[in-house]
Amino acid sequence: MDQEIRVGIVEDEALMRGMLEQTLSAEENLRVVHSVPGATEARLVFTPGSVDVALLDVHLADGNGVALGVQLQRQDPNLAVMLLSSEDVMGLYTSVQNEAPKAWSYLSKRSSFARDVLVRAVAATAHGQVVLDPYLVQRSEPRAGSAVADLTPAQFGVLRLVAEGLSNQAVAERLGINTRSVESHLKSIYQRLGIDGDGSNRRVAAVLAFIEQTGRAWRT
Amino acid sequence: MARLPRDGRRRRPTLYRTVKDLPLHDPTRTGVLLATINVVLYSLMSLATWAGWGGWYIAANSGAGILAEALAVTVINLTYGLLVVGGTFLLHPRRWPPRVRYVLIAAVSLVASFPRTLAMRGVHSTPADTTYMLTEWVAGFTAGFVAVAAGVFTAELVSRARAEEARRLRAARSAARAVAELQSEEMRVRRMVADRLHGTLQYRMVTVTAGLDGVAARLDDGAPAAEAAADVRQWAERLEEIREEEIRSLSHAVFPAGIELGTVRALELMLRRLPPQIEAHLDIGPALQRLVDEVEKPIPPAERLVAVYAIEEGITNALRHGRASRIWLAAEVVPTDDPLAWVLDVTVDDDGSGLAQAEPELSGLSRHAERLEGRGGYLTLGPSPRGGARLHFQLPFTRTLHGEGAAGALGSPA
Repeated sequence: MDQEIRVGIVEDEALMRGMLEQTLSAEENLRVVHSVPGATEARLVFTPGSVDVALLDVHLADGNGVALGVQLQRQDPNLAVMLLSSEDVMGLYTSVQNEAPKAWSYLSKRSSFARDVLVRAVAATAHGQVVLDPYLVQRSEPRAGSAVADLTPAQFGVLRLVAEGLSNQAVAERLGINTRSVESHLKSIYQRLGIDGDGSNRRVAAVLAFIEQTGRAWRT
Repeated sequence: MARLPRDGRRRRPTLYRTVKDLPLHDPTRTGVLLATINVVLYSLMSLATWAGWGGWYIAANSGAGILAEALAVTVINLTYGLLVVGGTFLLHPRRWPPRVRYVLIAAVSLVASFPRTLAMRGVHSTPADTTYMLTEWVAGFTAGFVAVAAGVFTAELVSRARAEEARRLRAARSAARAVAELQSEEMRVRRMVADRLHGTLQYRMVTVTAGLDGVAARLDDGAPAAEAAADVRQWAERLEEIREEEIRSLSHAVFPAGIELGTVRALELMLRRLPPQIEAHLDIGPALQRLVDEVEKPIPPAERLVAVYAIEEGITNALRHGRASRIWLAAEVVPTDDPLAWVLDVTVDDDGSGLAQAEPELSGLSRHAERLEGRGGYLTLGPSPRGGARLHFQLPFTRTLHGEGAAGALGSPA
C-alpha cells in the first residue's frame, strides 16, 4: 500500500459526508480528492483518471447512486466503486454488474462509522477486491434451493470471509487454519458453484453468487 | 367493488370492456328503419307518377277500375322495396367490407327489380313495350339501391358517431377513476404511515430509550462496565432491527427500494429480500427482456408501482397465509394491435397450502384487483400447478420510447 489512493465521495447528508471525509483524510495512504453532495456535481468533477475509488450513497437527492456508478465507471473503467446505504440494498446492484465494467463493494452506513472497517474496505476496493458489508455478511444465510446452500458449513464460513473482502491469508488467520486449507476450501467452493476462470475473476464471481444466493434473517 | 372469486374460479378477463350502462347503438335496426321509410316514400312517389303520366286516365276509361290499378302499382313497388330491404339485411351487410357492401345492395336491387318490371307490365294501365320495360327496370333498380344504400350509410354514420361518443365517455370515466384511485391510495398510505409513526415505531423507540436509561442507572450504581457494554450492544442491535423492520418498511410503503431503476430490478431486489428459508425463482419472459434491452425502463412509473405492490402483496400472502417455502415469479409482456400499447402479464405461484386458507388475504388483494381493473387490467387468484395458490394479473401500459442509454436513464431522479 505504498501508492496513495485517491477517493471521491458522493453523499447528500452533510454530517455523513463530513465524517467520511475526516476519517479517510486522516489515513496516510488515502486522499479525498472530491467530496460532493449530488450526482450532478459528481458528473462534473469525477473526470476519468482523477479518482481511484468512488464512495457513492445509494439515495441521492438528485438521483440514484447505482446509476451514477454505472455511468462514472463506463467513463473510467479503472474506477473502483463502493456503494453506501443506510438500508440493506445489497441485492440491488448485483443486477447492475452486467452493465458495470467492474464489480463493486458495498458498505452499510452503520459499518462506515467504524474507522477500521471503512478504511480497510476502501483500500481493498482500490486494490480490485469486492468487499461486502461485514455486518450484513455475518447475518446472511444461504437461500433455500440455491447452490450456496449445498456448501458445507466450513466452506460457507470461508465464503463469508471472502465476501467481506479478506485475502486468503486474512481468512486463514481469522479461522485459525492454514492458508492451504483456505485454498482447498475455495477450490471446492468454485467447483460447487460452477465458477471457472482465473484467480481474481473467480473470487468476484463467488462474491456475486454470495449476494445472489443468500438472504438476511432479521427476526432471530 | 371488485370481488375475487372465493372458489378460485377464474374471473372473466375484463380487459377492454365496454361501458355497460351506455346502450350500444345497433346500426342494423336503424338501417332497416331508414331503408323502409325510403322505400315507402318511393312507392308513394311512383303512385303519384303513375297518376300524373296518364295511368289514372287510362284506368278510368278501361274496365280495370282506378282503385284496383292504383293499389296494384303501390303494392308492387312496396313489395319490391321491402324485398330489397329484406334481401339486403338477411345477407348481413355489416359483415361485409364497405366496398363490397354497396355492390351487394346493388346486386339485390338488380335481381329484385326484374320480377317488379314483369309485375308492372301486368298492370293494365301501363304500356307493354320494350322501352317502357327497360326504363322501369333501370328506374326500379336505381330507386331500390339508393333507398337502401342511403339507409345503410346513414346508420353507419350514426353508429360511428355513437361509438366515438362512447369512447370519449369511457376515456373520461377511466381518467376520473384513475384520479380517484390515486387519491384514495395516497390517503391510505398517509394514514398507514401516520399510524405506524404514532403507534409501533414511537413505542419501540421509547423502549430503547428506557432500556438505555436503565443501563446508565446501573452504571451509576457501580455495575461492571463489561456487563453494561454487552447491554448497550443489545440495545444497538434492537435499534438496528427497528430501523430494518419499521423504518425501512415505512419508506418502502411510500416508495419501494430500487423501483426507480425499473420493474425487473425492483423484482430482483424484492426476491433477494425474502427470508433465506424461502426458495425464490424469477422468470423474465423473452418479450419483456427484449423491451428492457431496448429501453432501460419500458414500463412507466405509475404502472410499475401498481405491479410491484400487487406482486408483493401476492408473495406476502403466500408466505403468511399459505406458509409457502417456494415462490415462482414470472413476468412477461404481451403485444396488442397498437405497437405502443402492451400488457404486462404476471404470475406468482407458490407451494403453500393454497386457497383453502386464502380467506384472510382477500381484503388486501381485492384492493389491488380494484386498482388493476381501474387501469383496464384484471387479477385472478386460483390453484397453482405448483401445489399452492396462483396469482395472475394483467396490466395494460403504454411503453416508454426514449431511453437515454442505460446509465443516463438510470441517473434521472424519476
